Amino acid sequence: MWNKIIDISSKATKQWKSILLIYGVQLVLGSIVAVIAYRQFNGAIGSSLELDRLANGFDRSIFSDMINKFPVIIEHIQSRFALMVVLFLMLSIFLHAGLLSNIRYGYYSIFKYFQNANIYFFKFLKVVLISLILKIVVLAIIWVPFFMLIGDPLETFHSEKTLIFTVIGLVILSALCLIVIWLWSVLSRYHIVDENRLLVSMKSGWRLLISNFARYYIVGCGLILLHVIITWLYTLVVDDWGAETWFTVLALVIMQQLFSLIRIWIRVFGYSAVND
Amino acid sequence: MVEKWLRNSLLVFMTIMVVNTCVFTQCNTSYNQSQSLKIANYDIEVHLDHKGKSASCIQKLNWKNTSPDTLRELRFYMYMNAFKDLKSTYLKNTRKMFGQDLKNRTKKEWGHIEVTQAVDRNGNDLVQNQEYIQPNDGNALDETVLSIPLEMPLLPGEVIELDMNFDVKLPRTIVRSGYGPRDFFLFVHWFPQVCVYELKVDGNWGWNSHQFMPGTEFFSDFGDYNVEIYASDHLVIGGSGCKTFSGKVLGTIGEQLVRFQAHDLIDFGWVAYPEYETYTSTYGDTDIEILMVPEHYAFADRYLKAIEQSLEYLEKHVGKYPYPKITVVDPPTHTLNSGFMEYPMMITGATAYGIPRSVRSVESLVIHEFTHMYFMASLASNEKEEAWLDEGFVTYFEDRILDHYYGNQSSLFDVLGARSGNAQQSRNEYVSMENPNLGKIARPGWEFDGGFKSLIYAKTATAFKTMERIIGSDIMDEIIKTYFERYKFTHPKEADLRKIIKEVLEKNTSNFDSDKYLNQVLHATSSINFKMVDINNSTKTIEAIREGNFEIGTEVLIMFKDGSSKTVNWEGSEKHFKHTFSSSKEVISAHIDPEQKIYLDLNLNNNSITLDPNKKPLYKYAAKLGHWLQAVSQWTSFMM
Ligand SMILES: [Zn+2]
Repeated sequence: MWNKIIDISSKATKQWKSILLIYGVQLVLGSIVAVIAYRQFNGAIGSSLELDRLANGFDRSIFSDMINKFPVIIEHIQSRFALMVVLFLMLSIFLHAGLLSNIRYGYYSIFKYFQNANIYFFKFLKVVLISLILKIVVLAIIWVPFFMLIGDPLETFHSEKTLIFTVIGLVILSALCLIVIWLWSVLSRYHIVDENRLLVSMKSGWRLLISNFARYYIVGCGLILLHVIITWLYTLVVDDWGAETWFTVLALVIMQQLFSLIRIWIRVFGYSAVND
Repeated sequence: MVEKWLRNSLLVFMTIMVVNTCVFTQCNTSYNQSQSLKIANYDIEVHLDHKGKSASCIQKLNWKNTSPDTLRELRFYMYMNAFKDLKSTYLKNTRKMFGQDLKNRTKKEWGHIEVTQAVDRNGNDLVQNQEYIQPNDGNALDETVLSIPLEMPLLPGEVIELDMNFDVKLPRTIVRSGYGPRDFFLFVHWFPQVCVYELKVDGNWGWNSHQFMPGTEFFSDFGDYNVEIYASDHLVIGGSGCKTFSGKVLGTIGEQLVRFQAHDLIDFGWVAYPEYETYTSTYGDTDIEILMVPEHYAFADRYLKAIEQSLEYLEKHVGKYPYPKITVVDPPTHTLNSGFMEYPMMITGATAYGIPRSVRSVESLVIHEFTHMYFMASLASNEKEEAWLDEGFVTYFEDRILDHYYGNQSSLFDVLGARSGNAQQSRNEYVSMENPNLGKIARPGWEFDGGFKSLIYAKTATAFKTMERIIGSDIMDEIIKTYFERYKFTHPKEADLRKIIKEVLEKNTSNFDSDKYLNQVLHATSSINFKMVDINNSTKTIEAIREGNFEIGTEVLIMFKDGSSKTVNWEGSEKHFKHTFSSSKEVISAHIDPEQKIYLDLNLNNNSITLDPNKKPLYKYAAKLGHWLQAVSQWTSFMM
């Protein structure tokens, strides 16, 4: 077991060029948002002595006064933030095409990455669209009856505790279903690299998933769990660091970027584990 | 006297006769039982019909005429009639309340109250001539104030005793009063309660008998209460006052009697719900009873701690808790609209399963409602006409208590690096108003058309905080302590508070002009926003302006490049501040009100300009946003 994990880890680490590429794209989009945010904040409170107060830690009044005075700041940042996320999701189809084909072939070169990303982009796009539709259908099957049947939730459930646990249960159920579809879509994409035929690949992907369901499922759930742990660790340890000195700002940025890199590495580890 | 003896003997006899198993919960005996004038005293016997959501009651009223006038009528609040239909003044402009559509209510879901008998000492039944009156708006369909003409005039100093019968039917809870699913009952504003015969500002005495108007709560006289509740024994019952007796009624199937006694209250409320679990504790001389719904049991210690903190803080900064007990009621979530409220010696909280400890909504609410035991139950100002007098002080102390125990940057919540202090929240509720000059604070609740909470609670609390920062917290505490000691168990008005403020300021030789300040806070619509406009080192000038018509003096701290500084006074009457500095030194920053004393300032960020800004936090928060984008992108790409 441990040998297997170490083996997959080293395979994932060998994909460092692909990891850096995906990280680079995320960094560019993140930087765009950061620059927009900096400009907005600077324009609003950039010459105020309140910044000294903010340097020692979060101060709610500074932010709420800023938002009261310049409500457009938040709208502006929100819309750019959403735009960048959508942009990354589009790009990620292409990025996945390169990454998955490199993992499947056992290539590590960035040249192959782009070459295969080009080759498989449209086929992968179709898989993504099919899996997206499936995900939406599954979510609808889980949630639409809930919202239709529930009526006044507190009349139906009598206590909010039941309601809360029902919702948590349905969220977990949704996640478990989405993981199955996600695994299927990844395995299908691997088969596309092998067979280059969409429907056949999806069938093979499904057969493979079913034949070794427990193992794949553990990888899928483990991946989600690792992401949750990483986020929890980040918010617990890093997110609240102050800005007393330039060193602490720099340390914060470095730690943030390390967390971003780790997240992508974990994902590549997951893809490698599914491939193995 | 004989009658009183007879009545008491009868009560004892009844108790022995009707009850076989019983529990006594007695309040502390050291409690002083004659703190008020005891004008309005009530003995009420309640027979609850839990299936019919109603009660038939026998009420013995003992009311003293403390005025110099001879009275020919008594006036009663009949506030349950506000929930009779959508024609009452309280509801006539309302179709939705607490998210409920009231239009489609069935007859069963409405409430009402009716006096069926009121017999005086001479045996005259006065109900024949009773009539509903509408002193506020003349709405003939409003039956929330009842006038009962007297057969015999009531002379100054005389006491009238009435033997009354009344029936009360609860509505399905609209706001506080009412019934909920699974036999939940909250009885508040539920009995015919005598209005206040008071000395008016024009020097004449008269009835203060407002209909149940929107935006209004309590105004009634102090007195003693003996309340006996006969109800099905599946219900757990709690209420204002001390529970002196609780047990099964002999010869009945499943009936219980619960008896309450309370002194010097302005009102009495009670609650019944089968699922309540009772937690009891004591803090100093105060008994604490907490009624929790089972799914919220984990919050019992949070409720308890909040009560203990409030007691500790208020006894130190205001005065001794004036009652022997407090009952805290946790409303079930299905009837959450019965929560968030204060009654004398009883408060209703609100919580929901799973609220983390770092979100102190529960604490902030309990501390707020408990503080009302000082500002409302004891300092019983007219909440209909001068709601700011209690809600303002209560919110101010809610801010102080929360910030004292949990830190002024994080007392309200501290989640994932986002924090807020309670006073910060109160201030923001005021300064973020679309129009902070919407209206003045000092006016009756029903005259508000929006902004009630932001002005009455938040602005008043922020104004008290500002005053505290200007005059110092020791003097502020002295004002409040003196105000409490002198006016507890009475109906203080704004003028009484002002008198105390001036007296204490004078004693401490403070030159703070409290009249000018309070006039602007309470009786004007002005706001204040200091703004640093320019530092010019070539013309050697610093310029600032004050937006808004609120006149208040402050100071400007000027920092020079060599590290030295200078403080310049800015007179309150000046809207424009221009300072020319003669020194050869270069100015690096200028800061209006550097200690943030004027907490009412609408924007604290623009009070200063620095030529050498500290950009580090801007980089930090920009980097954080950038990083969260990276994280969100990575999570959501799972979908791809
Ligand atoms: Zn309040």
